[in-house]
Amino acid sequence: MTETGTTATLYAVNRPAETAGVFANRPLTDARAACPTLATRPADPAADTAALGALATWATRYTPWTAIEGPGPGGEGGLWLDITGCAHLLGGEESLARDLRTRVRAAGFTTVRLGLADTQGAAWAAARFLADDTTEPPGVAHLPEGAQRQLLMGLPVEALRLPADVCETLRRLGLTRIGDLAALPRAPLAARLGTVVAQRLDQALGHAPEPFTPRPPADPWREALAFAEPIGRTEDIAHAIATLCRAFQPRLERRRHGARRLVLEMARVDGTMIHRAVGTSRPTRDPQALARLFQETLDGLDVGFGIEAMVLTLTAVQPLEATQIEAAPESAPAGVGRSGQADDAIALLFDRLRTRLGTTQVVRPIPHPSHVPESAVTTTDRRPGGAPALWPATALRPPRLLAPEPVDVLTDGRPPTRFRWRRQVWTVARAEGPERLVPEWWHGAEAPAPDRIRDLWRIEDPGGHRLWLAHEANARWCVRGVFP
Amino acid sequence: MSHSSSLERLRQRIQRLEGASRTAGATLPLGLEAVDTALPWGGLPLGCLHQVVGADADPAEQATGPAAALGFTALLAGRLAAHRDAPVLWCLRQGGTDDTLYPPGLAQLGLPPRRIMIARARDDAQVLWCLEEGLRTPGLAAVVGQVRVAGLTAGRRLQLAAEAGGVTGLLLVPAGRAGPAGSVAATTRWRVTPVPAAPVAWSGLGAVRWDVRLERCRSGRPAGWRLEWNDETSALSVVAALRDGSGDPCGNAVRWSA
Repeated sequence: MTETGTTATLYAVNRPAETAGVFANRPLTDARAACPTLATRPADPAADTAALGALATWATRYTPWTAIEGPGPGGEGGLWLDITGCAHLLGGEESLARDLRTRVRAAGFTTVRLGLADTQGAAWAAARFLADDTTEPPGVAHLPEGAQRQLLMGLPVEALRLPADVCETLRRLGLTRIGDLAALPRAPLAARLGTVVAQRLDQALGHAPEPFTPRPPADPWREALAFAEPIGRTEDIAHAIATLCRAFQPRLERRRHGARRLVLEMARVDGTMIHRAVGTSRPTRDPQALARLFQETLDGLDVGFGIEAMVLTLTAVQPLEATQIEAAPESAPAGVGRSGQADDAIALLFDRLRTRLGTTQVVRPIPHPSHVPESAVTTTDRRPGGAPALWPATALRPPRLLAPEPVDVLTDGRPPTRFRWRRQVWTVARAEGPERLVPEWWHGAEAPAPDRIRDLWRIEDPGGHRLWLAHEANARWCVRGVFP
Repeated sequence: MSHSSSLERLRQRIQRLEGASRTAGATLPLGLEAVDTALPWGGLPLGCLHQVVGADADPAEQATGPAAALGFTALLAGRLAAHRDAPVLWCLRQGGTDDTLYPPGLAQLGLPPRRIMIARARDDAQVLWCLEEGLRTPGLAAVVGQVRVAGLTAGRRLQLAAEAGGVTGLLLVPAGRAGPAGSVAATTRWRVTPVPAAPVAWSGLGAVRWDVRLERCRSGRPAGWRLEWNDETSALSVVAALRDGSGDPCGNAVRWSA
């Protein structure tokens, strides 16, 4: 029963009331006249939505794509399941439907009607107008692929998910069956009733697309903490973060997941929010490790008059199976039985450094197929691990590679015997070279340094300092590296 | 109580204060008999801090940074990585000459690129923070840090972190900027200066040579050697011992006649 202004209307009625002549969407006074013993209770659509939502969440055991419809007055509303590609897991569509119906009935829903069809519109119609206890299996209307159109044509126009007033108009026009409607020319139909009729008809028959919008995954990875008094001390904040991280642990363990990205929101007393985000290089559910990551982001935190609430959200989680910690004695040398823990420690260090220095500042070198020295190496910010990359053997390379720094040649030569570089006069006592590097013409215009033929010398000054000297194509001499 | 026994007890107490209990732990012999015997542990002690500094007042090194010291550091880091079969964290400052590490060049010094993790920090303070974090992470073979200035306090912190985590720290500091009297409370301090290579018969460069001086060594004596690194055979060898500088008990401000 709902109340709109001064009129009380019936929201939904049960089976005995229906047989007594009481129907939904009718005024309560009419119903009382028909059935004086009618018992009413206020409707609670929010609770209905919650119940349907819980059912939809439960239904993810059949398919990840579920959605709810309604609920609305008169028992409208239902559950959508897109079982495309999922039915075989339960032995086919029929047995899935039977399993679903049995389980929902066991949960206390006495009347369960299922429609199984190729389109949403057809399934909707089948569940409401075809499914009853006489169908096989009972309560399930399965529209076979070929017979779908034929079966739909015999159904009343209400089966097209049309607004009530449109249905009313259609009935007055004498169009009671979908078949009557489908036989009509489209243009006058649209002019008279709007495009909705043709659209619903096409969607039911599969001529028009109808996107399926599944519910967002339930159970958000979110934990909140509100404080009786605003907190401001760094120790208190760290403690609160640790508490939040610990709150996730049982759930992560149960679901066998680990956190990859975390966002912490702190509500200041003055109404502003502070955001801190951290990431991990591999799924982690160790609350201490997660809390330590946030430690790096708390430097210079301006809490104003204090923080009154904190929300920690895991914006990305990944499966993380439990691992066996090997029972190696403490005295075992590193690498024996404790390699897993060492890997964990390195992964955690990697994450902490990235959080503190910036995600692009902690890198590992990886080879790049090029013989031009500056493009032979790129970096990756992925954590250590995986197959070792192959580094090609090259001629001697310096441990420091500089961008080309031109030198002032003081005494000519090949290489110059005296030159000035970085405000020092360098004398070449000995030299080895040249090593000629030609451009990688096979890359075309995208080659690194496309028109540069370079000759490289290793030179040594009388003091034993060694430099890598390059003669570029434009007849410039440059220092390219420092040898030890 | 006899004079000698009280002296012995005092020695033990000093050793304890200096954290010498750890020195009973793992060491990495460098494979050079002369150097290993000069080190009281019979090799490079692991799980502590070692400082490598460049040549003092060398104008060429002011332009290039401590190049020879970098080579020696990479060599030690490579040996440590092979010994532990674990990665090396290399912490440096962004920009400037420090930030020009070229992994293939390090590979030729014996430090494979797949073992290197590079952390690029904004300033010395961040480098020291990274170093400390790395030193406390068991599972790393070594942590290398390149800083401009390292003070006594920072050195002490790193030393404690290294002892806690059991990771070996290598602190690479340009000469003349290693804080007051160059002391950072490290277990050892090595000064590496380049020397001309031996002349070769062909027109080219011979194997690179460094004067490596163990300037400070906890419970050891300073010593120095001329080492040669052969890039073709990846072999380090002692060419000659340098004149011993045992006159200075603190190991500070030792001057060598090159």
